[in-house]
Amino acid sequence: MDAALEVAGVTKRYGPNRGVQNISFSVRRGQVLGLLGPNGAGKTTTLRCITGYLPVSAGNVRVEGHDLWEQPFEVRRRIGYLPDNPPLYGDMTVMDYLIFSADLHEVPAARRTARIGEVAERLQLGDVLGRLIGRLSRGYRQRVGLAQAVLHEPPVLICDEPTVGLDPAQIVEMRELIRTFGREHAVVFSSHILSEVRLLCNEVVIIRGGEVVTQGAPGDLTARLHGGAEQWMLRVKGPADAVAAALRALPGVRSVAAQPSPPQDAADGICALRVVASGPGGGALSDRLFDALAAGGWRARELRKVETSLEEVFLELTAAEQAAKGRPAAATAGRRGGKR
Amino acid sequence: MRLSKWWVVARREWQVAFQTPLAYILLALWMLLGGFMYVGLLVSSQSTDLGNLVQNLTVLVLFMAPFLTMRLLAEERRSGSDELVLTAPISASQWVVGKYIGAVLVWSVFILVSLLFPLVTSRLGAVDWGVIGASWGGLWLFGDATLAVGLFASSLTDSQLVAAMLSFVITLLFYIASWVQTTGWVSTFLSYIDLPNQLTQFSIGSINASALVFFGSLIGGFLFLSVRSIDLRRWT
Repeated sequence: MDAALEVAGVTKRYGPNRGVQNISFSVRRGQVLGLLGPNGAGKTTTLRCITGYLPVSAGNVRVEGHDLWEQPFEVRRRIGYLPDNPPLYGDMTVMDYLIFSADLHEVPAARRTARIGEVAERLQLGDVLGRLIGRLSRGYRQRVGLAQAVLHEPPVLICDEPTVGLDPAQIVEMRELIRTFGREHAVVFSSHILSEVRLLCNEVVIIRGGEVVTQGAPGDLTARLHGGAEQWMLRVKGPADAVAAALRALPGVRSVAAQPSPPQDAADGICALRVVASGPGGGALSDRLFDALAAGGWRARELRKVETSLEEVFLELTAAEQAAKGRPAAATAGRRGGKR
Repeated sequence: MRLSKWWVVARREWQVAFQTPLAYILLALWMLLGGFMYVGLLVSSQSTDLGNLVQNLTVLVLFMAPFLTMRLLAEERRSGSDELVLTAPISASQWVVGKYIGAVLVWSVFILVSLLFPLVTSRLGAVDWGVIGASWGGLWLFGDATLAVGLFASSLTDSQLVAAMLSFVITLLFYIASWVQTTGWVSTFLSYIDLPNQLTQFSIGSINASALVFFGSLIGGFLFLSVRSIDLRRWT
């Protein structure tokens, strides 16, 4: 199936500062793409370029084959947009606002009432339709924002940090909504929460400093880390140095590192170790680890294979990025110091 | 049937104007101060001629119109709600025209209510309704022009206060344009753009094509500038 949304080399410069550079990805209907990055990475700028709120400096956006430059209205008709902290009209009632949004997005007048009813039911807004938006709680406002984004049944739905500022129950609800909308729309949502992205997305784009650091399916990204090598976490009653030395000697083990352990463990003489295998070891490696501990007379309290998390991918990638950036910055500072 | 986009926007402005107290307060002040002027002029002139009243009401408009328009675009920009409008299938000009029509509708209520003055006068003596129609029409146009100025001022800033002040200053310049004594084409130009000057014809009951063109181009010009100002902001 063709992509509903294609983002090709989108670049946005603000004067001399760069906003985002060369962002590319595509999303099909039924797919959820997560735009992941720390605060200030350019997530909002990217989404604003896609929705046409900010004109791009270079690159292009196509929605169902319509070009944002050549047919901006055709693109806007096909996008539903939930901005960060949705800026709704606080002085309107929910109902009036949804009517306004429906008319603005060309929902035919004959279908309008029915459509508002459907969306209100799906988002559980029925009780607040007569209330002023300005008086609603954060959770309801977010849902009204989502309602206006999906009223016109757009193929593409774009949500900027949709779970920020919600309480835990509302976060779960909002994620569930995004997941269900992801079945019929092409959804792009931004987040700085990794677990959320892993939970909801088929595809992840990680950006930092306005540039794509990596992109792919969440599973692929984690596999790519450490060249797909397995990792094991051990909690062992025994001296960390001796245990580590013994394990390091085992075939199939690349490295063993002591990890900080909780105070209670330290008091009980329990050490924590991280073992990185030199390749996929499977059950055989776990047996060897266990036997080595038994041979040394150390009792294993825990022996667990670590599922590499997106969190680690993220930290590793962003740390590398930072290190690369840190050096030239320091050099410049040095030069400046020299002048003085 | 599909509604015109500008009408969708105008309808919202109309709804909101009368859901918040501001329009009611302004309407009350308008009638209170206008009534004060009306009674004062009626007693002193002992005549059914309301030409003076209209001249004086324009001063009220000068002060009140900025309050009707300051919110229009500045508030959208401050709260960020322009983001949802500008990503919807609506052009900046449809948006601006909608906002403007909304404000004109509210202002029209002020005009209609103020027809109470000639109505009262008509109970006291003979009133020339032709002259009344022309002068109130002129007052309406005068208000429309100041609203266009106010809308433009509101497009320049995200502060309602700044918008109101700018709007007042620009309108005031048009109001006192001919106070500067000059000669030649400058003088002709200044007296042409002088708002009260353009109104004098209306208050004696004549509707003058040149004045209509003047108000029309003033309104069109400031609406155009508002659209440009919105577009420019997104591109820089």
